[in-house]
Amino acid sequence: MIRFVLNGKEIEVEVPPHWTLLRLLREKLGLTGTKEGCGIGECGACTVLLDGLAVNSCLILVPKVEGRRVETVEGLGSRESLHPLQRSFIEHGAVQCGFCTPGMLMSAKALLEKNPKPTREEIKEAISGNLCRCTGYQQIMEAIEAVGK
Amino acid sequence: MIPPFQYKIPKNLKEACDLLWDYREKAKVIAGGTDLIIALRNGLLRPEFLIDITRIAELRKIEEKDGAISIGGAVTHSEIAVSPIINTYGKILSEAASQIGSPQIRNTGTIGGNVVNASPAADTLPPLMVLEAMGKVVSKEGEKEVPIESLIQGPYRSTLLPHEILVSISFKKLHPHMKGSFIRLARRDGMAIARMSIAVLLQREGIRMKQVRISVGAITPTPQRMKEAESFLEDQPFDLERLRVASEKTSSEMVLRSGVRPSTSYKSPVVKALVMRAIQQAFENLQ
Amino acid sequence: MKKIGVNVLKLDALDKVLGASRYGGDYCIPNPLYLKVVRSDKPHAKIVKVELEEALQVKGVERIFTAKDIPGRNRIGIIQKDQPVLALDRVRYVGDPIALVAGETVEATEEASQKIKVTYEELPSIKTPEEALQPFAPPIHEKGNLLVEFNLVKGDIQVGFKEAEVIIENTYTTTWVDHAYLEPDGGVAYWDEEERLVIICPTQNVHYDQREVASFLNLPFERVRIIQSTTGGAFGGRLDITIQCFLALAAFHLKRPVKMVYTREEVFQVISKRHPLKIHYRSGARKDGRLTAVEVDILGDTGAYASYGTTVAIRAAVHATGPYQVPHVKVRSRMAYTNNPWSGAMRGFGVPQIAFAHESQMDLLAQALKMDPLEIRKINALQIGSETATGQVLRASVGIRKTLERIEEWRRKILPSPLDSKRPFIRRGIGIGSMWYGIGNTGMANPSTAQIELSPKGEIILYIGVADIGQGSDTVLLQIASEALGIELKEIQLIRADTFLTTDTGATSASRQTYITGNAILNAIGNLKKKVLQEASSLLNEEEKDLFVEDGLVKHRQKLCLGLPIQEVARRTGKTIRGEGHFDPETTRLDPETGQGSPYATYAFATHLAEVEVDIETGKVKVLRVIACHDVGRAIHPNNVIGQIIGGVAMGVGFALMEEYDPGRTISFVNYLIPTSKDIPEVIPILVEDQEPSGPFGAKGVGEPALIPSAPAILNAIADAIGERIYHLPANLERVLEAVQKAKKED
Repeated sequence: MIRFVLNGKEIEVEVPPHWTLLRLLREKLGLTGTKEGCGIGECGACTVLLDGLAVNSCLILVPKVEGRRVETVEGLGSRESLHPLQRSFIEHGAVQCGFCTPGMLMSAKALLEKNPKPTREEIKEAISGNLCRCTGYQQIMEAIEAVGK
Repeated sequence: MIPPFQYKIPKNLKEACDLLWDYREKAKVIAGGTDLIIALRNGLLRPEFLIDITRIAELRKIEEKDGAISIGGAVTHSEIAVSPIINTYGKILSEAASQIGSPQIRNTGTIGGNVVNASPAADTLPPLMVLEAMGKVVSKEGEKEVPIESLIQGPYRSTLLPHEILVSISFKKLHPHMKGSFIRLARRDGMAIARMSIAVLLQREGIRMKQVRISVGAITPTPQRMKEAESFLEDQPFDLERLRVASEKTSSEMVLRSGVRPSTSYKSPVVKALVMRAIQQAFENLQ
Repeated sequence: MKKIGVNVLKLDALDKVLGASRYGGDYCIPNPLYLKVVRSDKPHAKIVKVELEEALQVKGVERIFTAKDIPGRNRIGIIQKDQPVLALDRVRYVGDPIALVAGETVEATEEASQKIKVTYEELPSIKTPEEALQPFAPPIHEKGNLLVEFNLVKGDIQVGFKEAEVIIENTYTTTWVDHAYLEPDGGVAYWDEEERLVIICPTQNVHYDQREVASFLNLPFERVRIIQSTTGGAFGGRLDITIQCFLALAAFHLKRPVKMVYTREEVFQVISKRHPLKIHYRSGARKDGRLTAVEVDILGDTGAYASYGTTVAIRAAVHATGPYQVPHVKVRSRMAYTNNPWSGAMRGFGVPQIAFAHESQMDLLAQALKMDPLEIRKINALQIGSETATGQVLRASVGIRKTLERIEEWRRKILPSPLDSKRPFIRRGIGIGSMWYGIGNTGMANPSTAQIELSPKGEIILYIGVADIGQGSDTVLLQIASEALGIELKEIQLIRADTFLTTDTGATSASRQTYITGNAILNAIGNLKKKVLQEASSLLNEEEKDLFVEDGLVKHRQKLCLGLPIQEVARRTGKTIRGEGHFDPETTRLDPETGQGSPYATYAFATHLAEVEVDIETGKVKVLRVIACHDVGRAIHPNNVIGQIIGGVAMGVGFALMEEYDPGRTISFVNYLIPTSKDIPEVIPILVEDQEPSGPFGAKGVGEPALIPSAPAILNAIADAIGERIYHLPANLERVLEAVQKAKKED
């Protein structure tokens, strides 16, 4: 039995220890917003926050999250009340196929929590573990920058 | 898919040592897991037990004691990159740590894991080698302090026994007149394995170089010091011709250790250039 | 023009930022069986025996399928049907599917797949197209190893070279490039209550998938329903069948829902690649810079199967001259089968490769003639009235010269950078790359359809079969409908990319959907308006000729107070009013001997300028900035167009510097590198809107053009920086350093 705080709510779930956090989120908790792009920590599509830090959930075994705080895209904002990053991504054309978007948003959130007004270089660094094949990153960086301002 | 195993989370070192003593080859230590999980997923490892050492307080500390800095084996690369202590007394290590993989990997991966995984391209090894770091290895049998080099047996092979844990890594605070530089070359600027890395530390006395330490990564089967080049420069005045000869020695050392490969024609001139660049940078950092 | 040229909210963006969009692997179906493909580890072999017994013993395994279980045609392919879904007796590349395991868990299917024993009799394998075309090379397919040879002849090449005062001749090569779309292929299949087999997965063309699956299962079309899931990128890699037939076969037999998701490793191994081309290029010009002759020989590696090999061979040939007028042209373009991974469609269909060659040649000609690289391009640029290499006379929307002029304005602002004393090993350079790209399929019927409907409830519904793959076609096509109807976007419902509900629009490929389906929508709306007026005429008791539709209202030419919403017409008559739309661009078939004809109705043009920094001691290239100027006809949604351009440049950086798929060695993103946020230049997009009269509101297309000029511009910039040219892509560390060393020796 694993206990942790998921998107602000304490949960308790029975899951074998060889499951990754990504698998738990997607297959048992129905949170499919977090994506699997490679399974080996090389694309960032599965990025979630663990105690506020961006991590690849495909490389986190579930016992690791015991007693900790996990945030996924589903906890970021709602249809009625978008997170400023979500709104900014839409406004800046930062979303194309969208498969990298949830991970990208989580990396951006981790950055802004530590550094509310990041420079372009700091943004580049913060999302350098999130591959995007569609946008060329520029509009994503503009979207993050706009929230920081 | 990752095959099943039992997962143990010891609360203290003694408990961890006991578990490893009991399970031996059936167990694997997991710290950050960034390399281990890939090996599990690819079927390269099938342990019955994973022993998670990241909740042992002792392994999670960065400490300054008796003129030395000690870093717990389960300290993450991100923590090292931003640690004021390491930035002050071992900047070359925090610089290298800040360039590993991606932010996500740095938030998960640990220094102990990076050392024990023993990749030829391990980013922390060249800096640790020029820092002349020591590793503290603990098991139920006792405790020993060994030079970091001696923990590496070969590519992806450490000398740790199945029941041993790398508890911490320590190095002496650098002399304030000792400065360094770290150069990393990769095919891509974000998230790529180093094609070559060079760590240099040196001390300066007027125009002379004192205490020259050079280490390379990714071009030899295991990262290593370049002793011949070091002694050639030690106590000598800083001049470009001398650097050139020293850099040649590095390149010959590489060929000696790795043999001539299809990549040698590229790596040989590049390692020369980068060694020169690194020494020059370190020397300039001292001005 | 209220909805055109406006950045309306991208329809899919909200769900995507919420993580609520469902991609192939996100579909949750009750009690599914999971599927896993067992593949060949031999490049070329006869299958002697496949032993399943041990695998069938694995707990949780439901069934294992082989080629014998296929009820219909076990051959797929967009042009030539030469690719088995499951190999029966022979495998042709490492990755060819042999068996399909269905089981209760992914673990069970994985375990079973390792227990299937395949006995092979190995055959000699062919690694290069040159080898493949040797007289006694073992044939990979019954009809031999030459997939296609296409010839293009214009004027007299001998005369052309006789007139030339300078001739440049070189060979250029490119390698396999992976689409690297971020979503691994995945999806579900099940039987619905009406005995239809439903497949939901990412794709670029639901109607093609339906045809292939139906004949594979020997079912009537209408018993197969393909629904496109949200698609995480495609770039041509999802034009061919990926997982559809596997899902179909298992669901067909098992009568239970099935699900499968490829691992990234499988995606790299088995999805098509960009064709490696070897391009021998000879061009001649007069002293004044005018091109007199271009002679090109192209040999490509299509790998084990045909896929889009023929298209790539022909399109590369048709575009071989670049966007320039050349009086004498001769091109031979061939594609050969090998036992390498199969190549297919990849953003540009051969044009990215050929543009690298023609733009290198243009710079070399300029250099030989001591001309400005921009000047030589301007002198030769196509214009209205120009005749292309296929003899097509261009009538409108030829913006190449404008893109060159805009780039020239930018270049004036770039100051020569002095050597950096802190970094004496850095050289800077700038380079230009231009391109042209024919919109739509090459010299063949290329139709699309659309329907617009007014329901008795007052709804307005647009039906299109178009697969939006993230680029934003849903939004752009709805903008076109909204503008043409004069009705707000949000009042129009969109039903799309579902074979049960929509009709065939052709593939989302060849940068064609805005232009072709956009026109089909306009045609549908025109027809709808006619019907609305007929109905309104009897409803209002007014002469039909006095009525017209404007701003979504039926109006009267004299009675100015009349304004009946078109939805009201349907509501009051109680009828569904439906406008059918169709469009097929005006093209002609290319002559089989000479390749002459009008293969496209319109062309897009672009020029990029790249500024690079080269580390001459390591060969490391940093692209600092790219000015990307595109003639798109008309930007319906400027932000989407800009997004395509910036994304295209990033992919171009990868193509130029780092992307190389090495069969057998490339496994995953660890060793297939695509640019990260730290590897991309600043991009300054510039839109030239030289409107295309036949395009919807003047639009052409931009998807592929966005990518094409970047790599040529970057390679020309590297040559400018180091004084030596690289003829093989990618310009990786080793190749750049080698070129630097060569330049030093020549000094």
